Amino acid sequence: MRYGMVIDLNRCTGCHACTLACKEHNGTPKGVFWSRVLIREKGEYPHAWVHYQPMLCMHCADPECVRVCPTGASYQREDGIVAIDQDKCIGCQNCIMACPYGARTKLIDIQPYHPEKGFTPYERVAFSRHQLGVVGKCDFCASRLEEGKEPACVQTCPPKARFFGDLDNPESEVANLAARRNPRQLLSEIGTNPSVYYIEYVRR
Amino acid sequence: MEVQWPLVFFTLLTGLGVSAFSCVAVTEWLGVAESIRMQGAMTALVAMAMGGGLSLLHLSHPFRTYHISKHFETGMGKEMLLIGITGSLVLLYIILLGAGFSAQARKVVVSLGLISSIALAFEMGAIYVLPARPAWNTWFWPFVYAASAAVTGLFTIYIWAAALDGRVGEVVLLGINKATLIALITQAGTILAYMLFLREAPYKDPRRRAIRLLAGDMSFPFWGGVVIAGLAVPIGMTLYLQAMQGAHFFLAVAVVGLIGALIGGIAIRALMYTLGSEADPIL
Repeated sequence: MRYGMVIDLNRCTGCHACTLACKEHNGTPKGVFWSRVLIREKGEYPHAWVHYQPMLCMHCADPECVRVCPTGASYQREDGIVAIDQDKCIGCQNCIMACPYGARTKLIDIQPYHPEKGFTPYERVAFSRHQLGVVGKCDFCASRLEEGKEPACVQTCPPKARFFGDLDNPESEVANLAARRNPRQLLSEIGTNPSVYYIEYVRR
Repeated sequence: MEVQWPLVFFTLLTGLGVSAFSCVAVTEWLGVAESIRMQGAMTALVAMAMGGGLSLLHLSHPFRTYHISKHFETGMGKEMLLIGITGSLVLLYIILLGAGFSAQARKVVVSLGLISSIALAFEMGAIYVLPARPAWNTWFWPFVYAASAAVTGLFTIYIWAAALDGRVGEVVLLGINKATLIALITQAGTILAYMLFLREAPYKDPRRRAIRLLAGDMSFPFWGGVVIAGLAVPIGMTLYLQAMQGAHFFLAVAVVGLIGALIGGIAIRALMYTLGSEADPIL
């Protein structure tokens, strides 16, 4: 089994709902984004357009972050999810240096979103799940998967640009899309073999 | 990415230490410069201890480092293992030397120490050879680090030789001088090779173009730190020392050379981090 995701860039509108759903579900502190949308201008006037690239941990089949982690804090689960054991992380940032996708963040400070009001009850509960000085990242919402739900970003995406499932199961929608739509893996030349695929945007 | 200062000083001081001990190993094998061996080994141990201590400042949870003992196959695991081995061998050598053990026993220890020192000098650079950071993804880096270590260690030994003026002998001083000059020329070569790599490397992100070093926002630390302080000044001092053997200001000149080499070592490491932007996933 290997969990994976296919993102159809033709459907993505850059609304950032995935970013917010991730923050809400994982309670990531201010300044930490496990899911985000990169916005880039492409082409030249009058044929210019805005390119939206949703980014998250690629849960690589051959993860560089796991290879360099000196304590075993970064590890790969049997279902392909690349996870972090917060209690083993020493905060050396080797994984951050080794990750080509900028998917990891070291938590060096926890501040309320509205400093003048202090921490809200939600922030107190949500932020307490994160250790200071350790590295965090997307885990495909592993806790939701255990409940039989999809990752928060997949469920939330308004234009349904994200498809999630088992890449090893030929019957699954993601495996079908990966086989039929010729999606692209980011920086595949590095050899990380990401489990997140992108169906390229086609200008019409 | 941001400059990781604890790691800059960790690699600088540890490099100095292993290189100084390598020089002591060579003097032990050649049977020369007996008077500087203890000072050289002690300096190596202190430098490595300081470097190791500074590396802990980089970590948020240093007490969890015991987990590394299960992952010696990783770059940081290898570093930790080599520091432990080399440090222990330096300490053992100091004990053997102080207790007056035979030259044969000392040679065995320094030989092992020389191997682990060279491995560590390269490993400290090899850890940065990462495909995710195109400006680091070259095997020139371990050579840049090793050359920097060689230069600082040789100048450290030079200082001890100069401080113990008269007891080392002119032949030995000339030998150290030549070795330092060769190390400096090698360092210049590795930096030039790296610049050529930057020019030819894939993913030509403007943040890591060689022109930033040559004429851009990083030209001052490059020309001032790496080239002038790190290469021109030490080369000038080495040539000057060669011409002025036995002069009474010998020590001061060697100290200036080491300071220059240290500034150069700091500058090249700091520039490495500044150039180390991630590969662009959207091409």
